[in-house]
Amino acid sequence: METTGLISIDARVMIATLINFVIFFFIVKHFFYDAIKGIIAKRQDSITAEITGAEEKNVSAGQLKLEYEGLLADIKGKEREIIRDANAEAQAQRQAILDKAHTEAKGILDKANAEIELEKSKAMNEVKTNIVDLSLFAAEKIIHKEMDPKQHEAMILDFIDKVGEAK
Amino acid sequence: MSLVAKRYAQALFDTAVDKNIVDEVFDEFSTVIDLFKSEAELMDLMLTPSINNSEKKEILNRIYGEKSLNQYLRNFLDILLDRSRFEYVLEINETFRQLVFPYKNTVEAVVKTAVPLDETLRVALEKNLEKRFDKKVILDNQIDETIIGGAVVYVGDQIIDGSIRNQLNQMKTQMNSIRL
Repeated sequence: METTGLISIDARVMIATLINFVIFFFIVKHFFYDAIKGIIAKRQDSITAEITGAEEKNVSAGQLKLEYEGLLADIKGKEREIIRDANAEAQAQRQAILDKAHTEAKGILDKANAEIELEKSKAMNEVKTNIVDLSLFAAEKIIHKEMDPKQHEAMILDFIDKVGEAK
Repeated sequence: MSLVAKRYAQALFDTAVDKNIVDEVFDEFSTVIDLFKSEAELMDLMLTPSINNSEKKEILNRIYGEKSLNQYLRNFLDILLDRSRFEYVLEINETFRQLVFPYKNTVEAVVKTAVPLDETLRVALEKNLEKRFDKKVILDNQIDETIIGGAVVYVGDQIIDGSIRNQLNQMKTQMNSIRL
């Protein structure tokens, strides 16, 4: 055997090793190749299935996303519609309340004015009645005082004439 | 008016018409009634149950004597006493008057004045009222100072108002109707 330091090449060892390797290769191929291949194929199928599932899920998620986006758009549209309707209704209610308040205020004002006019008229009439009563009371007193027998007779004569004239 | 008063008044009226003594009975019955109205005690006496009819007739006889009443009227009043109907005498008289007035084409009138009417004015008023109503008018003058002056005549349900009170009232109505 030839030695050259630490590493040396031995043809027999090399051949033995090669033969070992070939034997080992055939043994492994014979006993373990199908099993390993099956495991790999299974693993490959499993990975392929996972990838397909992931892709399907991805597609499904995409569809869901689209659906949700559609729904969201719908909801937003409806929300805007509701807000618009609510605003319109609130505006209408506000206007109605304002109109009612104006009408009521006008009614109260008109009523108050009418009452004032009525009270004013009543007071004026009362004053007028008092003036008339006082005037006639004074006139009655003066006439009473001024009436003498001649005037009584003249008045009665006048009355008698009128009784004779009218029928 | 009660039925009793109507029946007796009608009987007296029929007799008076039959005997042609309507005016006489009317005047004398009115005089007797005026007496009973003015002498309330006399009327009470006539209606007192404890005084018998002969005593009441004696009282009436004195009145008849003084007033020299018509025989039919005297008998009529005696009958009222005998039949215990004297309490109706005022009512009978009123009903009798209501029967006589249309028969005589007469109407009763009341004239209210503030001072008593003298005879001249009374006659003039009667004359003009007769002309107006085309009936004989029996006028009763009542004093009412509240009318102040002028006169008011009541004939049935008609009123002819020529009083100062009425003029003042009309003036008051006119003044009150003025709008301010």
